[in-house]
Amino acid sequence: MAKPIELETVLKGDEARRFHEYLENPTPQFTPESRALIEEARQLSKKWHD
Amino acid sequence: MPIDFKNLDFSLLAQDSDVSSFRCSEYFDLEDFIKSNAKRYQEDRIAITYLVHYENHLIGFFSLAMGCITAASVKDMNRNVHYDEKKYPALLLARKATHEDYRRMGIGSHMLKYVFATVFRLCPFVGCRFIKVNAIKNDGTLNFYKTYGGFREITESADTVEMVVDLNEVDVPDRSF
Repeated sequence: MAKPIELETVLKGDEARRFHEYLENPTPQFTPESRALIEEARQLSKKWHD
Repeated sequence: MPIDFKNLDFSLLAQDSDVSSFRCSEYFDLEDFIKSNAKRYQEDRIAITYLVHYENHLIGFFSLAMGCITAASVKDMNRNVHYDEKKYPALLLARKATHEDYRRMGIGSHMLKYVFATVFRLCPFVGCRFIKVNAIKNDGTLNFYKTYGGFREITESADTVEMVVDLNEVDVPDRSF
């Protein structure tokens, strides 16, 4: 039996604090590869729209 | 033999989809999911599964659902820190797997591209702040999501790591302000 899908993530303690801190001061971690993939995805979504 | 990505065929899982040929023996949970659970999740409208075929072979799949990230309230009087609880909607990449005979050929990044394209279509109509994935805890998988998606780790369990990418850091189309 495969593990069930967990829809919700609950962060507590230090994990919650780090997440809140990130939301206050976002620090993007995009690599050249991820930027390229996201741009290709953007073009693909436009193609679906057209 | 290299894959001609133009010939990848993405389609929705259907009741009569034949998934019996899919093999992922290293992570049997993923093989079990597509063979035993994916159709039920889709029937229940919990997760929608997309199949990826190449030359009529099922070589990959991924499943999408709506999820939520809750960051509990934090109070630390010593450091003068106080955050209220926050909840954020997230597109959950619930499962993603490549057939064991087609690994390390770029199929995974093509599926991830499809996930981002889906969220770009979704975001103008539905609130969605993050893409979230529950990644198997190994260096290859974690590096994949960091390198190709810009994901960051937010929590972990014994065998998985939850990772997110913040859509506020991506130029999501059609946001009017």
